[in-house]
Amino acid sequence: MPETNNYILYVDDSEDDVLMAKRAFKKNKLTTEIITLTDGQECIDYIFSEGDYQGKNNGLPLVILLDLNMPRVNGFEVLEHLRSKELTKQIPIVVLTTSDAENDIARAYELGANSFITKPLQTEDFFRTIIDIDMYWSVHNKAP
Amino acid sequence: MTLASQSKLISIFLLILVSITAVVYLELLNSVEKERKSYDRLSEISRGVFELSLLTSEHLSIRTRRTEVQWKRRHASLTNYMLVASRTFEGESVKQLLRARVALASLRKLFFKIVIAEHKLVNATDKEREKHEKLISTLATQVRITSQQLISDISRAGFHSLNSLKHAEKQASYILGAVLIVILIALVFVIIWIQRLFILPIKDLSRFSEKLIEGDYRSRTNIKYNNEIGYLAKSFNALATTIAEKIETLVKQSDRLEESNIKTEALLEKTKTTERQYKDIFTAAADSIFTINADGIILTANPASAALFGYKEAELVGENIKIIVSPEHYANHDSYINNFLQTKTKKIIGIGQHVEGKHKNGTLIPVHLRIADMYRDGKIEFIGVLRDMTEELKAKEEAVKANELLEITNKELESYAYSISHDLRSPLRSIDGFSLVLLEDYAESLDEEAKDYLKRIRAGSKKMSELITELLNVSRIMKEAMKLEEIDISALAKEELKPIIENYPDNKIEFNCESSMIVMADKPLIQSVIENLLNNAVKYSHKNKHIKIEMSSFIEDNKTIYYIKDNGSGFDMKHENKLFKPFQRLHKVNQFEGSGIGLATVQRIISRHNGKIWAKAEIDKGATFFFTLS
Repeated sequence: MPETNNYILYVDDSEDDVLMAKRAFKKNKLTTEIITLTDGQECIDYIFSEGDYQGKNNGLPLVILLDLNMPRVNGFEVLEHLRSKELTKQIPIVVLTTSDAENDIARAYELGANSFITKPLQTEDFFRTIIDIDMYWSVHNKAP
Repeated sequence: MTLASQSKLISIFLLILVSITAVVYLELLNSVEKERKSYDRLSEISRGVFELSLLTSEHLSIRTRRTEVQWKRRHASLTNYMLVASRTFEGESVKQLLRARVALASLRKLFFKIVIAEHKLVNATDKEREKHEKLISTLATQVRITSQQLISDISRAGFHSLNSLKHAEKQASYILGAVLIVILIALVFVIIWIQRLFILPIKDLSRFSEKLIEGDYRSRTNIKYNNEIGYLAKSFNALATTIAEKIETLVKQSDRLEESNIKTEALLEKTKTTERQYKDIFTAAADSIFTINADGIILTANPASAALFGYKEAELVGENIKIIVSPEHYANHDSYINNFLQTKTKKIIGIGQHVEGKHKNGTLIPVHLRIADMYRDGKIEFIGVLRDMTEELKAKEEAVKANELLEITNKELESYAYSISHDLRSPLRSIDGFSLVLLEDYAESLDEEAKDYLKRIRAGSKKMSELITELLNVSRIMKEAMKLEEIDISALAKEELKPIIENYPDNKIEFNCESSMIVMADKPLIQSVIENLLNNAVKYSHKNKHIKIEMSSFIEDNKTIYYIKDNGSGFDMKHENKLFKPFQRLHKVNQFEGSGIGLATVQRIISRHNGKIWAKAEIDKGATFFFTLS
């Protein structure tokens, strides 16, 4: 049974966004570790120690930031998969995406997302959002 | 008084008359009878007196015991009779009779004296005998005298009685005569009465009815009795009035009939003309026209029918309609007609439908068929108009295909635009993000010029992301379903203007708005329209210290036209056609801020509401935007 570790899992195929998120963490001197993955398949493998991550017990993240539009396995499929497993049922998942289409929002919540955030267009706002999510889920919302 | 009661009165009167007559007659009869009886009694008495006088004479001559007894008996009976009779007499007779009775009594006394003398005579001496004989003879003389007197008295009484009898009889006949005369007069009176009561009015009535029979319905009888005849006369008058009215109505009707006959003739003439026209139409029509009877036999077919189905006109007439209907429609056709004949339900009658016709050479022709029922000489016929639909169907199919293609393309384009807009955001964020990273992390190694360029890169990407947002909004407006409701756009405008005013604290904004303009529209969309138009109005007027905005409506060609007018910089009407195109701006970029997509959005919203939008303006004299909503 993997323990819950003090890290955030950020799954996004946009390398630029990942890079900026990481820089924002470093620049704001946040203690929480941020682990970035590039698509849904990698996310599932990472959590369940399958595929490329076979044999590695990574533990469960504090919160998962999940993009929707990704190659191989997309965000909706990841949501569906994680919510169907007992192990990952309780992990908070924040959908972080460029889409603000109503049916995307509705579907994400239906599949068990805890929150849905549209990526802000301004870089400053984007940084601010990432840091706010970390603060909220890793500090204020920590399990007792 | 009614006739019935009057005739009753007459009857009672006659009855009384008859009764009086009867009573009088009986009374007279009675008095005469009484007189006769008295007379009879007197006769009886006088006969008795005679007999008694005869017996006296006899006794005086023979002087026997038998005559003595006979005389006494007769005398007794006569006395008795007279006593009884005297009670019934009256007047003069009674006196006579009383005298007679006195005489009779003295007669008896005398007779007894004679008898005593006779008895004495039997035993008497001769001397005595002589004396007795003398006495007897004197007594006899007295008896005779008394007898004579008696007879004369009775005779006188009888005479009196006879006189009174005669008198009574005479009186009776007089009275009877008088009564008869009275009855006669009464009868004459009654006859006159009846005549007046019945005969004359009835004659009047019969004269009047004869007049009616002759046709004089305007004459009226003036009989005015307050009885049955009077009522009858009234009824006759009413009858005459009714008949006169009816006749008047009849006359009017016949006049009208004549009029309508004239009209009918005119109509007939017109009908003939119309018929000729129809015949011409029938012959010249481009559509195929048939008439068939209830059995489906073709009665007439026009040249177009012949051309459409490849037959000659003469070949078609008399054939069953089936020869030009595709086998598939045989059954339907019959059942439709039967159904109509039985139930009068017009399943296809009067309603057009698409069927297949059959050409002489066997090819099927798509036709549009309209059937109407009509009655000629009381028989039902059907008239069918068939239009060759081959070309139209082809064109329609092509149009549908083209439309479908267009719709698909449109949808694809829309979702394409949507996803492109989305996908554009990511690279933009990278451009902006890394420019920022450079500015922040490498500030020391960059000179001012480089920093300025990086800032320009960031400004450009910001502008672009705003445009993308606007584009996404426009495309969302077109994608989302509309919900129409009643909206007070006056109130909405006042609400929308508030945040706009806040952006222009240096200007005085005067807003004149017609109150309670109600429209049927989708609320978020119409809100966007009002906001955009008001925003533009303020934006392009803000160089004036005093901004005047007017919002109102008027009606033209049954449509309500709403408008928003400002006193701003306006525009050149030669650019009017560019006004509602996206990213088209009519002013220099630095003159007024804006994305250039607001009016494009407004126009799309208005056209989604089946409305129109247009504008009128002049440079520096303000602009007016007009719009309609369906």
